[in-house]
Amino acid sequence: MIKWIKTHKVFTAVFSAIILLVIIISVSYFSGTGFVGRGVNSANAAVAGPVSSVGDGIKSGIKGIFGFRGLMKENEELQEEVDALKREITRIQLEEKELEELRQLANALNYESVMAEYKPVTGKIIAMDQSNYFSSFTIDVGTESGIIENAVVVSGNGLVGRVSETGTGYSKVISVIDDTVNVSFQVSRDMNILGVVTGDGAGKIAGYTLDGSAGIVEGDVLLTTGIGMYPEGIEIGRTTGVNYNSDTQLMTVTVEPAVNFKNLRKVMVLL
Amino acid sequence: MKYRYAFLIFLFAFLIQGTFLNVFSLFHTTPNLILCLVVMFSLFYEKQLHAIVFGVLFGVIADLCFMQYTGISSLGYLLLALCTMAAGSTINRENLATLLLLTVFSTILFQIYVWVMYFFLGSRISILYVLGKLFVLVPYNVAVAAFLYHIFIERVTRFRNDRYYYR
Repeated sequence: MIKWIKTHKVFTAVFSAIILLVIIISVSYFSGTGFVGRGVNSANAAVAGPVSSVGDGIKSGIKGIFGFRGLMKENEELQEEVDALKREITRIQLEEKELEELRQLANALNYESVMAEYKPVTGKIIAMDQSNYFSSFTIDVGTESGIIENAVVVSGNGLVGRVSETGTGYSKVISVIDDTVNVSFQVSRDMNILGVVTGDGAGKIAGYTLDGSAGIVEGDVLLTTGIGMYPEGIEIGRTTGVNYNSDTQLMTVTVEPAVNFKNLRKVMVLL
Repeated sequence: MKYRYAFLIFLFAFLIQGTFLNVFSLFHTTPNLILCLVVMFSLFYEKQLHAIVFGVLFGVIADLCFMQYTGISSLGYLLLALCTMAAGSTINRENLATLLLLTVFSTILFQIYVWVMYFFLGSRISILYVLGKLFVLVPYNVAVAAFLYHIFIERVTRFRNDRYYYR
Protein backbone atom coordinates (compact mmCIF):
# COMPACT_ATOMS: atom_id res chain seq x y z
CA MET A 1 0.00 0.00 0.00
CA ILE A 2 2.72 2.48 1.04
CA LYS A 3 4.72 1.53 -2.01
CA TRP A 4 1.68 2.17 -4.21
CA ILE A 5 1.16 5.58 -2.57
CA LYS A 6 4.82 6.47 -3.14
CA THR A 7 4.55 5.64 -6.82
CA HIS A 8 1.27 7.53 -7.20
CA LYS A 9 2.01 10.63 -5.12
CA VAL A 10 0.02 13.13 -7.17
CA PHE A 11 -3.01 10.88 -7.46
CA THR A 12 -2.94 10.20 -3.71
CA ALA A 13 -2.61 13.91 -2.91
CA VAL A 14 -5.47 14.90 -5.22
CA PHE A 15 -7.72 12.09 -3.98
CA SER A 16 -6.95 13.03 -0.35
CA ALA A 17 -7.75 16.68 -1.13
CA ILE A 18 -11.11 15.69 -2.61
CA ILE A 19 -11.97 13.60 0.47
CA LEU A 20 -10.83 16.41 2.77
CA LEU A 21 -12.94 18.98 0.90
CA VAL A 22 -16.01 16.76 1.05
CA ILE A 23 -15.48 16.49 4.83
CA ILE A 24 -15.08 20.30 5.07
CA ILE A 25 -18.32 20.83 3.12
CA SER A 26 -20.17 18.39 5.40
CA VAL A 27 -18.78 20.02 8.56
CA SER A 28 -19.64 23.54 7.37
CA TYR A 29 -23.14 22.38 6.43
CA PHE A 30 -23.87 20.84 9.81
CA SER A 31 -21.94 23.12 12.18
CA GLY A 32 -20.87 26.32 10.37
CA THR A 33 -17.38 27.67 9.86
CA GLY A 34 -16.34 27.89 13.52
CA PHE A 35 -13.36 29.77 14.89
CA VAL A 36 -11.27 29.23 11.74
CA GLY A 37 -13.93 30.99 9.66
CA ARG A 38 -14.17 33.85 12.12
CA GLY A 39 -10.38 34.30 12.13
CA VAL A 40 -10.12 34.28 8.33
CA ASN A 41 -13.08 36.67 8.01
CA SER A 42 -11.61 39.13 10.54
CA ALA A 43 -8.28 39.12 8.69
CA ASN A 44 -10.04 39.56 5.36
CA ALA A 45 -12.21 42.42 6.70
CA ALA A 46 -9.09 44.25 7.87
CA VAL A 47 -7.71 44.18 4.31
CA ALA A 48 -10.97 44.35 2.35
CA GLY A 49 -12.06 47.63 4.00
CA PRO A 50 -9.26 49.78 2.54
CA VAL A 51 -9.37 47.94 -0.82
CA SER A 52 -13.12 48.55 -1.01
CA SER A 53 -12.62 52.24 -0.22
CA VAL A 54 -10.13 52.53 -3.08
CA GLY A 55 -12.69 50.90 -5.38
CA ASP A 56 -15.42 53.29 -4.24
CA GLY A 57 -13.09 56.25 -4.79
CA ILE A 58 -12.29 55.13 -8.35
CA LYS A 59 -15.96 54.49 -9.06
CA SER A 60 -16.97 57.98 -7.98
CA GLY A 61 -14.04 59.44 -9.97
CA ILE A 62 -15.13 57.60 -13.13
CA LYS A 63 -18.72 58.64 -12.51
CA GLY A 64 -17.61 62.25 -12.18
CA ILE A 65 -15.63 62.19 -15.42
CA PHE A 66 -18.14 60.41 -17.63
CA GLY A 67 -21.34 61.56 -16.02
CA PHE A 68 -20.98 65.34 -15.99
CA ARG A 69 -24.31 65.97 -17.66
CA GLY A 70 -25.97 63.47 -15.39
CA LEU A 71 -24.45 65.22 -12.39
CA MET A 72 -25.73 68.59 -13.59
CA LYS A 73 -29.22 67.12 -13.93
CA GLU A 74 -28.88 65.45 -10.54
CA ASN A 75 -27.81 68.80 -9.09
CA GLU A 76 -30.96 70.48 -10.42
CA GLU A 77 -33.10 67.68 -9.03
CA LEU A 78 -31.35 67.99 -5.67
CA GLN A 79 -31.97 71.73 -5.63
CA GLU A 80 -35.66 71.08 -6.16
CA GLU A 81 -35.53 68.45 -3.44
CA VAL A 82 -33.86 70.94 -1.06
CA ASP A 83 -36.69 73.40 -1.68
CA ALA A 84 -39.26 70.70 -1.03
CA LEU A 85 -37.43 69.63 2.12
CA LYS A 86 -37.34 73.21 3.40
CA ARG A 87 -41.10 73.34 3.04
CA GLU A 88 -41.30 69.95 4.77
CA ILE A 89 -39.16 71.22 7.67
CA THR A 90 -41.53 74.12 8.21
CA ARG A 91 -44.47 71.70 8.30
CA ILE A 92 -42.62 69.30 10.63
CA GLN A 93 -41.74 72.12 13.02
CA LEU A 94 -45.43 72.82 13.30
CA GLU A 95 -46.12 69.16 14.01
CA GLU A 96 -43.23 68.82 16.46
CA LYS A 97 -45.17 70.41 19.26
CA GLU A 98 -48.03 68.01 18.64
CA LEU A 99 -45.58 65.07 18.66
CA GLU A 100 -44.10 66.20 21.94
CA GLU A 101 -47.55 66.21 23.45
CA LEU A 102 -48.14 62.68 22.15
CA ARG A 103 -44.80 61.54 23.61
CA GLN A 104 -45.77 62.91 26.99
CA LEU A 105 -49.02 61.03 26.67
CA ALA A 106 -47.16 57.84 25.73
CA ASN A 107 -44.92 58.19 28.78
CA ALA A 108 -47.95 58.75 30.94
CA LEU A 109 -49.44 55.48 29.62
CA ASN A 110 -46.08 53.63 29.97
CA TYR A 111 -46.10 52.92 26.24
CA GLU A 112 -42.74 52.24 24.55
CA SER A 113 -42.30 52.20 20.78
CA VAL A 114 -40.85 49.06 19.24
CA MET A 115 -38.19 51.00 17.31
CA ALA A 116 -37.21 52.92 20.42
CA GLU A 117 -35.94 49.63 21.87
CA TYR A 118 -33.28 49.37 19.18
CA LYS A 119 -29.93 51.06 18.96
CA PRO A 120 -28.70 51.39 15.34
CA VAL A 121 -25.06 50.72 14.42
CA THR A 122 -23.94 51.92 10.99
CA GLY A 123 -21.77 49.65 8.87
CA LYS A 124 -20.11 50.03 5.49
CA ILE A 125 -20.29 47.25 2.92
CA ILE A 126 -16.74 46.06 2.28
CA ALA A 127 -17.28 42.91 0.23
CA MET A 128 -19.97 41.22 -1.80
CA ASP A 129 -20.39 37.47 -2.27
CA GLN A 130 -18.53 36.07 -5.26
CA SER A 131 -21.20 33.89 -6.74
CA ASN A 132 -23.06 36.66 -8.60
CA TYR A 133 -26.40 35.14 -7.65
CA PHE A 134 -26.39 34.72 -3.91
CA SER A 135 -27.24 37.87 -2.06
CA SER A 136 -25.03 38.25 0.93
CA PHE A 137 -22.39 40.82 1.76
CA THR A 138 -19.89 41.70 4.47
CA ILE A 139 -19.95 44.90 6.54
CA ASP A 140 -17.11 46.42 8.55
CA VAL A 141 -18.65 46.25 12.03
CA GLY A 142 -18.82 43.16 14.19
CA THR A 143 -18.90 41.87 17.73
CA GLU A 144 -16.81 44.83 18.98
CA SER A 145 -19.85 47.04 18.20
CA GLY A 146 -22.18 44.63 19.95
CA ILE A 147 -23.54 43.02 16.80
CA ILE A 148 -25.04 39.59 17.27
CA GLU A 149 -26.27 36.89 14.90
CA ASN A 150 -29.77 37.45 13.50
CA ALA A 151 -29.63 41.18 14.23
CA VAL A 152 -31.88 43.02 11.79
CA VAL A 153 -30.24 45.13 9.07
CA VAL A 154 -32.00 48.13 7.51
CA SER A 155 -31.19 51.07 5.29
CA GLY A 156 -32.88 54.45 4.93
CA ASN A 157 -35.33 52.91 2.46
CA GLY A 158 -36.35 49.77 4.26
CA LEU A 159 -35.48 46.23 5.28
CA VAL A 160 -32.13 44.90 4.05
CA GLY A 161 -31.84 41.53 5.81
CA ARG A 162 -30.27 39.96 8.87
CA VAL A 163 -26.82 39.19 10.23
CA SER A 164 -25.94 35.57 9.52
CA GLU A 165 -22.46 35.53 11.05
CA THR A 166 -20.39 37.99 13.02
CA GLY A 167 -16.87 38.27 14.39
CA THR A 168 -14.27 40.89 15.22
CA GLY A 169 -14.46 43.66 12.64
CA TYR A 170 -16.94 42.01 10.30
CA SER A 171 -20.51 40.78 9.96
CA LYS A 172 -22.03 38.81 7.13
CA VAL A 173 -25.49 39.92 6.09
CA ILE A 174 -28.05 37.84 4.21
CA SER A 175 -30.41 40.11 2.32
CA VAL A 176 -34.18 39.69 2.07
CA ILE A 177 -33.84 38.68 -1.60
CA ASP A 178 -32.03 35.52 -0.47
CA ASP A 179 -34.16 32.42 -0.76
CA THR A 180 -33.38 31.38 2.83
CA VAL A 181 -34.93 34.49 4.38
CA ASN A 182 -38.64 34.47 5.28
CA VAL A 183 -40.35 37.65 6.44
CA SER A 184 -43.95 38.03 7.58
CA PHE A 185 -45.66 41.13 6.20
CA GLN A 186 -48.69 43.31 6.62
CA VAL A 187 -50.07 45.68 4.03
CA SER A 188 -49.73 49.33 5.05
CA ARG A 189 -53.10 50.21 3.47
CA ASP A 190 -54.94 47.51 5.42
CA MET A 191 -53.01 46.08 8.39
CA ASN A 192 -55.35 43.08 8.55
CA ILE A 193 -53.85 41.63 5.37
CA LEU A 194 -50.99 39.40 6.47
CA GLY A 195 -48.61 37.12 4.61
CA VAL A 196 -45.09 35.80 4.19
CA VAL A 197 -42.46 36.75 1.61
CA THR A 198 -39.12 35.19 0.76
CA GLY A 199 -36.44 35.50 -1.92
CA ASP A 200 -37.68 33.89 -5.11
CA GLY A 201 -34.25 32.51 -6.08
CA ALA A 202 -34.00 34.97 -8.95
CA GLY A 203 -33.04 38.20 -7.21
CA LYS A 204 -36.56 39.35 -6.30
CA ILE A 205 -39.06 38.78 -3.48
CA ALA A 206 -42.21 36.68 -3.74
CA GLY A 207 -44.74 35.38 -1.24
CA TYR A 208 -48.37 34.81 -0.39
CA THR A 209 -51.10 36.18 1.83
CA LEU A 210 -52.47 34.06 4.66
CA ASP A 211 -56.02 34.77 3.52
CA GLY A 212 -56.84 33.69 -0.04
CA SER A 213 -59.50 36.35 -0.37
CA ALA A 214 -57.32 39.21 0.90
CA GLY A 215 -57.78 42.45 -1.00
CA ILE A 216 -54.12 43.02 -1.79
CA VAL A 217 -53.49 44.90 -5.02
CA GLU A 218 -50.54 45.94 -7.14
CA GLY A 219 -48.66 48.88 -5.68
CA ASP A 220 -49.43 48.03 -2.05
CA VAL A 221 -46.61 48.78 0.38
CA LEU A 222 -45.61 45.80 2.55
CA LEU A 223 -44.33 46.30 6.08
CA THR A 224 -42.88 43.92 8.63
CA THR A 225 -45.37 42.69 11.22
CA GLY A 226 -43.14 42.27 14.25
CA ILE A 227 -43.72 38.51 14.24
CA GLY A 228 -40.36 36.75 14.44
CA MET A 229 -37.07 38.59 14.46
CA TYR A 230 -38.00 41.65 12.39
CA PRO A 231 -39.42 44.66 14.27
CA GLU A 232 -42.78 45.99 13.19
CA GLY A 233 -43.20 48.74 10.61
CA ILE A 234 -40.08 48.40 8.43
CA GLU A 235 -40.85 48.69 4.73
CA ILE A 236 -40.14 45.51 2.77
CA GLY A 237 -41.21 46.64 -0.67
CA ARG A 238 -44.06 47.30 -3.05
CA THR A 239 -46.16 44.65 -4.78
CA THR A 240 -45.61 44.45 -8.52
CA GLY A 241 -47.85 41.47 -9.22
CA VAL A 242 -50.78 39.77 -7.49
CA ASN A 243 -52.24 36.42 -8.59
CA TYR A 244 -54.68 33.99 -7.10
CA ASN A 245 -53.26 30.47 -6.91
CA SER A 246 -56.19 28.09 -7.22
CA ASP A 247 -54.07 25.08 -6.11
CA THR A 248 -53.03 26.56 -2.78
CA GLN A 249 -56.03 28.93 -2.61
CA LEU A 250 -53.73 31.75 -1.65
CA MET A 251 -52.95 35.12 -3.17
CA THR A 252 -49.36 35.03 -4.42
CA VAL A 253 -47.47 38.31 -4.67
CA THR A 254 -44.29 39.44 -6.33
CA VAL A 255 -42.55 42.34 -4.63
CA GLU A 256 -40.06 44.96 -5.69
CA PRO A 257 -37.76 45.44 -2.66
CA ALA A 258 -37.78 48.88 -1.06
CA VAL A 259 -34.00 48.79 -0.96
CA ASN A 260 -31.95 49.06 -4.12
CA PHE A 261 -29.35 46.39 -3.35
CA LYS A 262 -27.28 47.31 -6.39
CA ASN A 263 -26.33 50.72 -5.03
CA LEU A 264 -26.24 49.88 -1.36
CA ARG A 265 -23.10 51.17 0.36
CA LYS A 266 -24.04 51.65 4.02
CA VAL A 267 -26.54 49.90 6.25
CA MET A 268 -27.76 50.07 9.84
CA VAL A 269 -27.79 47.11 12.19
CA LEU A 270 -30.52 47.29 14.84
CA LEU A 271 -29.34 46.13 18.25
CA MET B 1 6.83 29.91 -12.06
CA LYS B 2 7.84 29.89 -8.44
CA TYR B 3 5.14 29.02 -5.96
CA ARG B 4 5.56 32.26 -4.03
CA TYR B 5 4.84 34.35 -7.14
CA ALA B 6 1.82 32.24 -7.97
CA PHE B 7 0.66 32.65 -4.35
CA LEU B 8 0.91 36.44 -4.61
CA ILE B 9 -1.04 36.46 -7.89
CA PHE B 10 -3.84 34.35 -6.40
CA LEU B 11 -3.82 36.46 -3.22
CA PHE B 12 -4.15 39.64 -5.25
CA ALA B 13 -7.01 38.11 -7.26
CA PHE B 14 -8.78 37.03 -4.07
CA LEU B 15 -8.45 40.47 -2.46
CA ILE B 16 -9.90 42.38 -5.40
CA GLN B 17 -12.55 39.77 -6.24
CA GLY B 18 -15.20 40.73 -3.70
CA THR B 19 -14.15 44.36 -3.24
CA PHE B 20 -12.43 46.37 -5.98
CA LEU B 21 -13.84 44.29 -8.83
CA ASN B 22 -17.40 45.32 -7.93
CA VAL B 23 -16.53 48.70 -9.47
CA PHE B 24 -16.34 46.95 -12.84
CA SER B 25 -19.47 44.84 -12.48
CA LEU B 26 -21.60 44.58 -15.62
CA PHE B 27 -25.30 43.95 -15.02
CA HIS B 28 -24.33 43.20 -11.43
CA THR B 29 -22.01 40.42 -12.52
CA THR B 30 -18.31 40.37 -11.77
CA PRO B 31 -15.77 38.06 -13.42
CA ASN B 32 -14.43 35.11 -11.47
CA LEU B 33 -10.73 35.92 -11.33
CA ILE B 34 -9.74 32.83 -9.36
CA LEU B 35 -11.45 30.58 -11.89
CA CYS B 36 -9.65 32.35 -14.76
CA LEU B 37 -6.32 31.91 -12.96
CA VAL B 38 -7.01 28.24 -12.21
CA VAL B 39 -7.73 27.54 -15.89
CA MET B 40 -4.70 29.53 -17.07
CA PHE B 41 -2.23 28.02 -14.59
CA SER B 42 -3.54 24.49 -15.30
CA LEU B 43 -2.91 25.06 -18.96
CA PHE B 44 0.41 26.92 -18.91
CA TYR B 45 2.11 25.21 -15.99
CA GLU B 46 1.00 21.63 -16.49
CA LYS B 47 4.05 20.14 -14.76
CA GLN B 48 3.54 22.17 -11.62
CA LEU B 49 0.53 22.14 -9.35
CA HIS B 50 -0.06 25.88 -8.89
CA ALA B 51 -3.66 25.71 -10.05
CA ILE B 52 -4.58 22.82 -7.78
CA VAL B 53 -2.75 24.07 -4.68
CA PHE B 54 -3.85 27.70 -4.88
CA GLY B 55 -7.26 26.95 -6.39
CA VAL B 56 -8.03 24.78 -3.38
CA LEU B 57 -6.45 27.18 -0.86
CA PHE B 58 -8.10 30.38 -2.10
CA GLY B 59 -11.32 28.51 -2.86
CA VAL B 60 -11.55 27.57 0.82
CA ILE B 61 -10.71 31.12 1.95
CA ALA B 62 -13.21 32.65 -0.50
CA ASP B 63 -15.88 30.25 0.69
CA LEU B 64 -15.14 31.10 4.32
CA CYS B 65 -15.37 34.82 3.61
CA PHE B 66 -18.16 35.12 1.10
CA MET B 67 -20.22 31.96 0.78
CA GLN B 68 -22.65 30.07 2.93
CA TYR B 69 -20.81 26.74 2.99
CA THR B 70 -17.07 26.10 2.94
CA GLY B 71 -15.28 23.91 0.43
CA ILE B 72 -17.71 24.00 -2.48
CA SER B 73 -15.81 26.47 -4.67
CA SER B 74 -12.57 24.86 -3.61
CA LEU B 75 -13.67 21.40 -4.75
CA GLY B 76 -14.94 22.98 -7.98
CA TYR B 77 -11.60 24.64 -8.71
CA LEU B 78 -9.79 21.38 -8.00
CA LEU B 79 -11.99 19.43 -10.42
CA LEU B 80 -11.70 22.19 -13.04
CA ALA B 81 -7.90 22.19 -12.73
CA LEU B 82 -7.83 18.42 -13.24
CA CYS B 83 -10.15 18.64 -16.26
CA THR B 84 -8.13 21.50 -17.79
CA MET B 85 -4.87 19.61 -17.26
CA ALA B 86 -6.38 16.54 -18.93
CA ALA B 87 -7.71 18.64 -21.84
CA GLY B 88 -4.38 20.45 -22.15
CA SER B 89 -2.52 17.20 -22.79
CA THR B 90 -4.29 16.76 -26.15
CA ILE B 91 -4.47 20.34 -27.46
CA ASN B 92 -2.11 23.25 -28.09
CA ARG B 93 -1.64 24.81 -24.69
CA GLU B 94 -0.13 28.08 -25.84
CA ASN B 95 -2.88 29.05 -28.23
CA LEU B 96 -5.16 31.89 -27.15
CA ALA B 97 -8.20 30.12 -28.57
CA THR B 98 -7.51 27.08 -26.36
CA LEU B 99 -7.48 29.20 -23.22
CA LEU B 100 -10.62 31.10 -24.19
CA LEU B 101 -12.51 27.96 -25.12
CA LEU B 102 -11.54 26.25 -21.88
CA THR B 103 -12.54 29.38 -19.95
CA VAL B 104 -16.00 29.25 -21.55
CA PHE B 105 -16.48 25.58 -20.66
CA SER B 106 -15.02 26.03 -17.18
CA THR B 107 -17.27 29.00 -16.40
CA ILE B 108 -20.40 27.15 -17.49
CA LEU B 109 -19.43 23.93 -15.70
CA PHE B 110 -18.45 25.77 -12.52
CA GLN B 111 -21.72 27.72 -12.32
CA ILE B 112 -23.78 24.59 -12.89
CA TYR B 113 -21.65 22.66 -10.38
CA VAL B 114 -22.16 25.37 -7.70
CA TRP B 115 -25.90 25.41 -8.39
CA VAL B 116 -26.12 21.59 -8.11
CA MET B 117 -24.17 21.57 -4.83
CA TYR B 118 -26.27 24.33 -3.28
CA PHE B 119 -29.45 22.70 -4.60
CA PHE B 120 -28.61 19.52 -2.69
CA LEU B 121 -27.76 21.60 0.39
CA GLY B 122 -31.24 23.14 0.31
CA SER B 123 -30.93 26.33 -1.76
CA ARG B 124 -33.87 27.34 -3.96
CA ILE B 125 -31.92 29.43 -6.45
CA SER B 126 -33.52 29.06 -9.87
CA ILE B 127 -31.35 27.30 -12.48
CA LEU B 128 -32.75 29.69 -15.11
CA TYR B 129 -31.47 32.63 -13.06
CA VAL B 130 -28.02 31.03 -12.86
CA LEU B 131 -27.98 30.25 -16.59
CA GLY B 132 -29.17 33.77 -17.34
CA LYS B 133 -26.17 35.15 -15.47
CA LEU B 134 -23.90 33.14 -17.76
CA PHE B 135 -24.75 35.42 -20.69
CA VAL B 136 -22.75 38.15 -18.99
CA LEU B 137 -20.34 36.06 -16.94
CA VAL B 138 -18.95 33.96 -19.82
CA PRO B 139 -17.94 36.91 -22.06
CA TYR B 140 -16.60 38.75 -19.02
CA ASN B 141 -14.47 35.78 -17.91
CA VAL B 142 -13.28 35.31 -21.50
CA ALA B 143 -12.20 38.96 -21.65
CA VAL B 144 -10.31 38.59 -18.37
CA ALA B 145 -8.70 35.34 -19.60
CA ALA B 146 -7.58 37.08 -22.82
CA PHE B 147 -6.07 39.90 -20.76
CA LEU B 148 -4.26 37.43 -18.49
CA TYR B 149 -3.06 35.48 -21.53
CA HIS B 150 -1.24 38.50 -22.93
CA ILE B 151 0.44 39.08 -19.58
CA PHE B 152 1.51 35.50 -18.90
CA ILE B 153 2.24 34.05 -22.34
CA GLU B 154 5.47 36.06 -22.60
CA ARG B 155 6.66 34.45 -19.38
CA VAL B 156 5.63 30.95 -20.41
CA THR B 157 7.11 31.09 -23.92
CA ARG B 158 9.71 33.81 -24.18
CA PHE B 159 10.40 33.72 -27.91
CA ARG B 160 7.08 32.46 -29.19
CA ASN B 161 7.31 34.48 -32.42
CA ASP B 162 10.69 32.97 -33.25
CA ARG B 163 9.95 30.01 -35.51
CA TYR B 164 13.37 28.48 -34.82
CA TYR B 165 12.79 28.56 -31.11
CA TYR B 166 12.39 25.17 -29.51
CA ARG B 167 11.65 24.71 -25.89
